[in-house]
Amino acid sequence: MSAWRKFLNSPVGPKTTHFWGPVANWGFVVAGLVDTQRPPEIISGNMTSAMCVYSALFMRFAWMVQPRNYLLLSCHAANESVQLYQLSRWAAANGYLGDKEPVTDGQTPTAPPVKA
Amino acid sequence: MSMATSRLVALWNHPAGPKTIHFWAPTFKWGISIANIADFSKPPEKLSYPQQIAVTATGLIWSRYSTVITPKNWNLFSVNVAMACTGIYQLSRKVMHDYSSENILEKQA
Repeated sequence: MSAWRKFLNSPVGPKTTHFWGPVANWGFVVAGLVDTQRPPEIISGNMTSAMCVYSALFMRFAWMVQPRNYLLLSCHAANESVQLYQLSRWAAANGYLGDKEPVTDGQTPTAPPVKA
Repeated sequence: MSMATSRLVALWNHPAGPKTIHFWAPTFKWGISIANIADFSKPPEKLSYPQQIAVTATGLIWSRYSTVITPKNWNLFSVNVAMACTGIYQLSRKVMHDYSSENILEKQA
């Protein structure tokens, strides 16, 4: 019970803003996981790339900030993984990974055809 | 002239300045809003409800918290307000598309 109390009263615990901000950021992870089950045509290349850079930067931020914020670090590590996976699905569907024909929708720019 | 240079040097060497992650991480958060603005031209069928809800919710929550931390961080506040606005706009586009009368009729057909 005292470990729980320690957590409740910790400087990055649920009584502080250092807790609820990172909890909100888990929303990106959940959204990403839900979207892995949907077809790659709905993946936004812009948003997913931005998320990959954003979470990489914030992993470093969470490590360097005082007090060190492991909750924020884990959230961004999880998001980095999900967003990189989604980015790879987007790249494959748009012909950037070279193994199959691009699924074009006429809107997303696809990779130029490889000369045989 | 030397006063201006020394102030610039002070900013450059600031503990939350451009040599540190404390500067670049929040600055890059603007990339999410910029990416969302670029996606304003995407057809609403391609937008993701979970992702836009996450963008809006984190924008709103962080906007509030950036005003209750010490010191108040207006840079963090503004970037999260922008995120919430782009998220709300995208959600409204998708909701209006999905619940417009033609779409409801189509789904019933």
